[in-house]
Amino acid sequence: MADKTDFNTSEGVPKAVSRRNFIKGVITSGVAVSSASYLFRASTPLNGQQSAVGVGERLITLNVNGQQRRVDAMKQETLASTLRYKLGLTGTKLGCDRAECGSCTVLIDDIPYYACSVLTHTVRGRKVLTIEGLANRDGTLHPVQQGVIDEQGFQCAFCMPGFIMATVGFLKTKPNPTRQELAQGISGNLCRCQDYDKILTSLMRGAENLRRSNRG
Amino acid sequence: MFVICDNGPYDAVGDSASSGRIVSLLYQPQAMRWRGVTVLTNTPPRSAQSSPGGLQGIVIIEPIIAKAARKLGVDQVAIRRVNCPEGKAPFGPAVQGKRQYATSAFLKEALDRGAEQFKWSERVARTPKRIGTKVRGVGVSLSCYVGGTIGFDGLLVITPEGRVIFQSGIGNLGTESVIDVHRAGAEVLGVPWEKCDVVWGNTTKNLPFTCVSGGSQTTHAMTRAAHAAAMEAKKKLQEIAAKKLGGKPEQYEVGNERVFRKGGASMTLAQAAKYAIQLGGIYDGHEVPADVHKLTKASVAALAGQGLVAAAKDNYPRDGSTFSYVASFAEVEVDVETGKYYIVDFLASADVGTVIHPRALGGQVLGRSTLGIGHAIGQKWVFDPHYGQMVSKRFYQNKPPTILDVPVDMQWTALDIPDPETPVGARGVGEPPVAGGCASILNALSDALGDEIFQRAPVNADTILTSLEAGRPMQHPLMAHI
Amino acid sequence: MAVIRDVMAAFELYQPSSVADAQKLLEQHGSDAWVLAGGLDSFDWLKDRIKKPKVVVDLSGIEELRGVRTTTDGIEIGAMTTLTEVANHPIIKQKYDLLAQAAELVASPQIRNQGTIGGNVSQDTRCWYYRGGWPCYRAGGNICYADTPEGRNREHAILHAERCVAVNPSDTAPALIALDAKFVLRTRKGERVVDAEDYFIGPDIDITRLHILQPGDLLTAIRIPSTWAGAQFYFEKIRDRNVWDFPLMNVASAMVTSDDRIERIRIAVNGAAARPLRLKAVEDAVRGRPRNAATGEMAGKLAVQGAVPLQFNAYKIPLMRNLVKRAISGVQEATWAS
Ligand SMILES: Cc1cc2nc3c(=O)[nH]c(=O)nc-3n(C[C@H](O)[C@H](O)[C@H](O)COP(=O)(O)OP(=O)(O)OC[C@H]3O[C@@H](n4cnc5c(N)ncnc54)[C@H](O)[C@@H]3O)c2cc1C
Ligand code: FES
Ligand code: FES
Repeated sequence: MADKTDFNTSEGVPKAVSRRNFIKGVITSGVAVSSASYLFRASTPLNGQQSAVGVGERLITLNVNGQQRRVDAMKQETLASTLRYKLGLTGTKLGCDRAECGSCTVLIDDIPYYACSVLTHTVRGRKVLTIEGLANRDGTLHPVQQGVIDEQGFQCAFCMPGFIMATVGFLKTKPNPTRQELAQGISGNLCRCQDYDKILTSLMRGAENLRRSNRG
Repeated sequence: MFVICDNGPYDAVGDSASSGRIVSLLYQPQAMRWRGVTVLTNTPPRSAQSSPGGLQGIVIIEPIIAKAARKLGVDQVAIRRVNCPEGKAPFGPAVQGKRQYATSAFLKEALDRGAEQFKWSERVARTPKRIGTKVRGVGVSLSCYVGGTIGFDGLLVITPEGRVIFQSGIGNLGTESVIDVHRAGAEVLGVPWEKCDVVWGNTTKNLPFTCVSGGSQTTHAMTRAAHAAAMEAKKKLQEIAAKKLGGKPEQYEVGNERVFRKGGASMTLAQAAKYAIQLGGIYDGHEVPADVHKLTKASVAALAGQGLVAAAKDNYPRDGSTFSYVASFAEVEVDVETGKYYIVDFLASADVGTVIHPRALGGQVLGRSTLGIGHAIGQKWVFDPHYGQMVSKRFYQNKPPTILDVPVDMQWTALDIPDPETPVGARGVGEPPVAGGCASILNALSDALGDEIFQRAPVNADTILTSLEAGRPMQHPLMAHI
Repeated sequence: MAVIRDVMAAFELYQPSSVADAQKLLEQHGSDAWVLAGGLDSFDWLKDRIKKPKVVVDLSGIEELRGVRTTTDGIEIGAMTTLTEVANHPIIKQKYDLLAQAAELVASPQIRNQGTIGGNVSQDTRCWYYRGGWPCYRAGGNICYADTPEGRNREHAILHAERCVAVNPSDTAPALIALDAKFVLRTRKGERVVDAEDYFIGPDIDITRLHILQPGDLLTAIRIPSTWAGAQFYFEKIRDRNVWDFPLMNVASAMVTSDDRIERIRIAVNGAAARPLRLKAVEDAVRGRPRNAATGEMAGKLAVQGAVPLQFNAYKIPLMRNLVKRAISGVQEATWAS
């Protein structure tokens, strides 16, 4: 696990260095920057952090599955990489890494995105939901997950987390879809075991479960 | 049949030979000449995909049968019905005057069932075929591939708590077989499924010698092995009962979680397991049957003493080679101005022997049909022939089918007629539907557009449009991938 | 050990919150900088390490670039508005549905949730040689691999090819041209507004770009005048798979008729050339004519005049002819009792 850098526990931050010093340190070491105004995002306060996040700073806080998680992310790093290799959330799969398969689908502020094609630094201040965050804390599965189990929707299930996240996202805009509409809604997800018929049946069942459970 | 195999810079793989065998089985030609050569090309190496050889062979022959039927004025289902294999159908070349044959084939029944459920005759009779720029066509295809091997081992433990633990060495591809083949064993022992456990996952878990998860063999091979192990356990239960309760082993029966003599003495499986541990030797795994594989022996040694341990090799006889069969039906709608087409309906009717797990079977039948549909509607590799480089590296270029490329309601059915050459009756599935998925679409397209338009796969808008424009095939059949 | 595939080469990421700041950054870094909108065209380049910018300027924090506003004459769509927002926007659906239809047919739902209208019209070609990193004309070399005797060119150009035979892959571009949209640019010299069709360029003008943006320029908004609000629209896209795939060809038309005579019309196709083509000759020829099959046939034939097929793309000629025909005279719905 030597390759895993999880700063959730704040141990990764050198204790002796204050935050301000740390940012300064990064800046003076020549990583970047000219004017502080580039560093602000206009409208979204960054998780209550009062100070601006430095352009050179890699240590950021992400809101993932309702938790604040500190992570050291490279500027060119994708959200899928961060989730899988830094935060240990390997439920988000990488199939193509090119926005062509959907297995990396996560919700960002309730909207489905391909996590392989989102830069981690661009989701600061936004809510990321992965497959790991769907079930209740007591372990009760999300109604869509339950539908998949009830109907045994998937074969190898590599594509499953992506399909479920796409469905959960789509149902927020259309809770009572027809089969055709749901197929359209989850059409950005590829399955190679390819019984799309059974997948669709299980996700329709999930949609029905969700309507019954009145869960958002 | 002349097959040219291009798999890159290395020599032959088995695909071309299997294409000949499968075709000879599926269409039962009275005489057949087959030649296969491999050409070496300056392209990256490739290896087999689902239904290797079978897919290619069937996809060559099916459009020819479809064309023949149209020229003869014979119904497409009828022409396949008279030519398809039945019972112990022969296949392949004669070796020393003898040909090999299949264990069984109920493809006629599958065709009939499929034609009825698909409302084949109604669709064929429906008029008009063309409205405006849209033309409809229906297609049927036969399909088959190997469906099972023999000779692997089963292993189970009956614990002193009365549970039956199946040791499952099947690699889990998500097809449920890792678990469901053991229902055959539970049935032999008359133990409710809730009282059974399946141990699986990796070789540290003391698993028996098992087939690889490939070649559509698992359901067939491992239901046999599970059945053999359960029969072995049953024999031991009878012996233990006779030792403890008197009488002869044959007088005892096994059921309802007990070993019992009709109207007489009995004991529970839990008690029998305790006695097995007391007896030791062959009963609790301290001795192993000589014919099981050395991997199984090692697993039995590790499990010894935990209860009644039964290991057995599948020594059941089998007369013939095992294949599974599918009849596939499709309807397409083509726009002749753009070449774009949609699959309106699809149904696959399967002859795979006894059905073990319907939902998982449906997953295989439709899932692998969709792989075949992918070969018909666009899946491809594209190489630049001058540089030998692949240019279609991305999914939007090599085109695996998406959920919107197949109908939102696909149908499947299975005959559930047991194969006579295996104790449980179940054959394998996985590869058998692939070719039917592909060829039923190609045949539906030629029903809509005529036989002279193209002979190739995949068929895309460009294939249709250039050929319609010219009135003859414009994309070279051997240059399939452009 | 975890293997992280396809890590992009390191770059510095800037996330400005205003157009002015973005411009300053771009000016400062010149050709070292890459503009990032949704990133769905960009990331392929960066992951394949064919393009290695030192600096990436992410526009996603600039609020003024987002959203649809009504203006005195029509609407203005911020360049960073997503394709999903464009496809679902009530005013666009009601008055400029042509654009909503086109946006809805782009790629996949997730790509539409993230990809922007500005990025969609500014995306690079998908020629598989060029995108695969082959050193062709467009990449600064001296050959077009797609236009060699054995080159694989099924998806390439039939019109206006000039050394390079790549095509523009955008679905929204022809719809915007048909709606007579204006593109608002922010350049070093200030704001500049160009007609949609003038935003796109072919290899005869610059073989390395598909549009007129120079390094440092930004596309800030797209304005759609009310001229074509509520007109009769036709959009059709032909692609291989029904999700993800780029158009083999698409067509967009906006038409106003009276007594079934074509009074006003704009029509454009994409996938035929390195830029989306406004078919001015067709517009002129059909204006004043009855909207019927004969006019459509005539228009289709006229549209493909001068088209030159490559080895594998001859189908694009009948395809373009028929799509133009349908964009003018429509297509008959077919329903079978099943
Ligand atoms: C698998 C796949 C399938 C696709 N299928 C289709 C399809 O069917 N039809 C289709 O039309 N598109 C398709 N696309 C392309 C995708 O829709 C577009 O790439 C998307 O709209 C681009 O938007 P973006 O914001 O993500 O682009 P980005 O990658 O962020 O930008 C694209 C280019 O435009 C420049 N740019 C972006 N915004 C501005 C601006 N405001 N000012 C100056 N320059 C700017 C960027 O520097 C970059 O060079 C597909 C993409 C993928 C990955
Ligand atoms: S891994 Fe992100 S879409 Fe395939
Ligand atoms: S179930 Fe295997 S890829 Fe979808």
